[in-house]
Amino acid sequence: MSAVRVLLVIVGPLRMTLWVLAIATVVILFLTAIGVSRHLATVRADRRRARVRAKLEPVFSRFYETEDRGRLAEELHPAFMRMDAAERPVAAVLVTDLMHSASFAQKEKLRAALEQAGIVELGHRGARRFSPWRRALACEMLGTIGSPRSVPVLLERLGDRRPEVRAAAVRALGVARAEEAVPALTEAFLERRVAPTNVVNEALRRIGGEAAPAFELGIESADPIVRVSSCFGLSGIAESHGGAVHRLGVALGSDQDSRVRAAAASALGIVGGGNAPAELVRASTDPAVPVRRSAVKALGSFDDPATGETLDERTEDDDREVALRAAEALVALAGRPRAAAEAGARLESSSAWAVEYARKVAEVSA
Amino acid sequence: MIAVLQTISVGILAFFVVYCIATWTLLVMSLREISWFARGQEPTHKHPGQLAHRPSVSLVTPAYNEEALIVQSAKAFLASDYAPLEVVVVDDGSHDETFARLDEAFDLVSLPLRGKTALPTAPIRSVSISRTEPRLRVVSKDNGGRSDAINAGISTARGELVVIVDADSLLEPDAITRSVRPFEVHPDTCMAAGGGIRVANGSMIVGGRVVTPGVSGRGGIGATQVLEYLRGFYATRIAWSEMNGLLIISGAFGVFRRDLLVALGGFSSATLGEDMEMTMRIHHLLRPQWKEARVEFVPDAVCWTEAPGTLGGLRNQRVRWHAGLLDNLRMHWGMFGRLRFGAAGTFAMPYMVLFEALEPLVEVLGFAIVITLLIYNAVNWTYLLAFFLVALITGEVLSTTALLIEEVGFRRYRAKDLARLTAWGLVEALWFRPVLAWWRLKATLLALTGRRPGWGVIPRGEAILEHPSEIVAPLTR
Repeated sequence: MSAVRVLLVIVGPLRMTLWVLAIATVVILFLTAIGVSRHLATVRADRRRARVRAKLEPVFSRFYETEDRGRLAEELHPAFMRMDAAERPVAAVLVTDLMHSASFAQKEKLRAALEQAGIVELGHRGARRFSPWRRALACEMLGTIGSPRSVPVLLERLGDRRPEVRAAAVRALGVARAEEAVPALTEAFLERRVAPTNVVNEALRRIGGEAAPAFELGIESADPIVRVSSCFGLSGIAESHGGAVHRLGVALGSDQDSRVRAAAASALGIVGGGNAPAELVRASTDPAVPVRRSAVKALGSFDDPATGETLDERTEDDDREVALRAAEALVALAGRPRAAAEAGARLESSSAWAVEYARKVAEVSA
Repeated sequence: MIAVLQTISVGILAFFVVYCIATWTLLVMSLREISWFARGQEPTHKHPGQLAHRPSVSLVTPAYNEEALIVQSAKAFLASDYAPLEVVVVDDGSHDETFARLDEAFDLVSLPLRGKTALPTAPIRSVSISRTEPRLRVVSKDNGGRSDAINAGISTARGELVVIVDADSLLEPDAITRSVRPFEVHPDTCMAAGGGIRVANGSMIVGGRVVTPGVSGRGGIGATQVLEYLRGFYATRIAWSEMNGLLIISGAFGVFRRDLLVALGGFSSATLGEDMEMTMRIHHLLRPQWKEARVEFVPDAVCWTEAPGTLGGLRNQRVRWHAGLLDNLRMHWGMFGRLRFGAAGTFAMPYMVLFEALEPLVEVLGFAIVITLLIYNAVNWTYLLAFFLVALITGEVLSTTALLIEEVGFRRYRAKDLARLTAWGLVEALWFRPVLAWWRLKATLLALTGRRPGWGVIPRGEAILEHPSEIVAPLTR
C-alpha cells in the first residue's frame, strides 16, 4: 500500500504537469496557428486589394473622362456582383477613398452611378452584417456616398450594440449631411449615450444651420459637458445661424459653470468679427482664470479698437498665461485694419514683460 | 522546517498560477480590442473624429548632456505631421555643448525672462526662440533632474496639450496626431494619453526615423526586451486602458493637458518613477469626484527608444524603475482596493502590488527554498521538474499571445524577427526573469533601507479635490 502511495506522490505531480504542459502546448499551437493564419490572411487581403483595384480603377478612370453615368453603372454593377464577400469590403474602401478625393461635381456623378449600379443596396446589406467592423465600414461607405435612401439604415445603426458602429453611423449621417437625422442626432447629443459627445457634435456641425436647435437645446442642458460642446457647436454653425453669437454671449454672461463660460469665450473667438461682444470684454476680468484666459485670447480675433485698453490692462494680470495671451491678442490686433492704430500705440507705450515677450516672438516668427 | 518550506513552495506555485491567469486574462482582453483596432487600419479610418479646430500641442523634451543627438532629435520632432505644434527643448544644466549645438543649428534669440513661472523649478537661465524655426523654444536652466526639467518646459509651453518625449527617443511622424486622438473624441474627459514604446535596438534608423524595425541579433538582451515591451505595452496596457485603470504613461512618450499638470503641481522630483506617479496622481485626485476622467493608451502612436544594450545598463534601469514603482505604490496606497477609484483602485493597484512589487520577493524566495531543500537533500525532484516545465511553458503562452497581438494589430516585424522573439521567449524564464527578480529585490532592499532619493510626498494638488472638473479649460474644438 505504501509503495502505491510513493508511486502516487511521484506520478501525481508528473501527471498534473503533463496535463498542464499538454494544455499549454495546445494553447501555444492554437495561438501560433491564429498568428500564421492571420499573417496569411493579410497577405491574401493585400493581393485581393490589388485585384479589386485592378478591376475597378479602370472603370472609375473612364468615368471621369465621360459624362455617361449610365455606362459606368452598367460596368460597375457586374464588377461588384462578381466580387465575393471578402472582396466587397475592399471595394467599399476603394469607393470611400474615391469619394473623399473627388470634387463636388464628381461626387454627384459618382453617387448617381453607384445608386444605379446597386452599390448602395449592397451597403445597406453590409450595415446589417454580423461582423461589427463590416457594419461600421458599410456605414462609412454609405455616409460618403450620401444617398438619401441610406439615412433610415444609418439611423437604425444608431441603436447598434457596438459603440464603434454607432459612432460610425453618427459620423456617416454627418458626412451625408442628412437633415432628417437631426432629431435623432439631437437626442444622441443631449443624452450622451449613443456616441461620444464630440462625435455627435461634429456630425451636427457638418449638417449646418439645420442642426442649430440641437445646440440651442444643448446650451440649456443640465449637463455641463453638453453645454460646453454646444458652445463650440454654435461657433461651428455661426455663419448659417445668425443667433449663435448672441446665444454664446448669453452663456458667457450667465452660466454658473466656469468651463461653460470658458468654452463660450473660446467659441466667440473662433467666430471672430468686427466689434467684440460686451460679454466677452467683461469676461476678461472673470474671477475664474480659465475664463479670463479664453476671453483675452478671443478678443484678439475681433477687429475692435475698443478692446485695446482692456487687453493692455490684462497684460499685467496675475496669471502669467492671461498676461501672455493678452499681449499676443494686442499683437494680433495691431495687424487688423480698424484696431491697428490703437493696438500699436498700446504696444509702444507698454512696459509689461508679456508685451515685450509677445513682440519678440512675433518679430522672430515674421 | 522542511514541511514549512514545502508548504511555502506550494504557496509560491499558487501565486504563480494566479499571476498567469490574471496576466493571460489581460492579454486576451487586449487581443479582443486589438482585433477591432486592426480592422480600423483600413485606409478610410485614418481620420475618425478629427476636430474642426485641433488643440495646440507643445512637445517638451528634457535634455541633459545630449550634444550628439539633440539637433537631430529637435529636427525630427519638428518634422511631425501635427499642427499647431511647438517644440520646447529644456537643457537641464548640461556640462557639454547641448545648448551651443542648438544655438548653432537654429540661430536662437533670447526672449525676455521675467515673472513667476507656472511651476517652481531650478533657476531658469534663458528662454530662447529660433529664428530659422520659430516653433522651437529652448529653455536653459540649472540642473534639477528630469522632473524639474519637464516642469520648466511645461511652464514655458503654450500649447493646450503637452507631449513629453525623451530627447533620445524617435517619434514616428504621425505619433503626435495619433496620440491626440483620444482628446479629439473625448475632449472633456480625456486627461492624459500614453503612446506605445518600442525598442529600437536592431532596427535600421535613418535621419532620426526608424525605417526598418528589427530585433537585435546580438545576445538576448535586446530581443528579450523587445518581447518584454510588447507584453508590457501592447498586451496589458490596452486592457488596462479599456478598463480606465491605466496606472502608467511612459515618460518616454505621454500626452497631458497642460492646465491639469500645472494644477497638479507638475511632475514630482520625490520619486524615481515620475511618469507613473503623475498618472497615479491623476487617478487618485480626480477620479473620486470625477468618474468620467480618463487616462488612455494609444497603441498606434509609436515612439522608439534605445533600450540598454548591456547587463550593467539594464540593471541600473531596472533598479531605478522598481524603486520608483515602490515609491509610487506607497504614495498612492490610498487607492488600493477602493471602489471610488474605479478599475485603477480595484484591479490595477492590487495587480501592481502583487505581481510587480511583491513578485521579485516571491521569485527569489522560491529560489532560496530550492537551495535550502537541496542542502537538506529534501528536494522533491518530480515537483521541481514539474514546476520548472510549467513555468517555462506558461511563460511561452504569455509571450506567444503578445506576439499574436503584435502580428494581428501592428505587423511591424518580419517573420524572422518574430521567430527570433519566440525563441528568446522560450529561454527567457531561465535567465532574464531570475536576473530581473534579483535586481528588483535589490531595489526593494534599497528602498526599505532608505538608500535612494527621498521618500517623497504627493506634490500640491489636493486643493483641487473639491471641483476637479473645473480646473481644466475646455479644449478648442
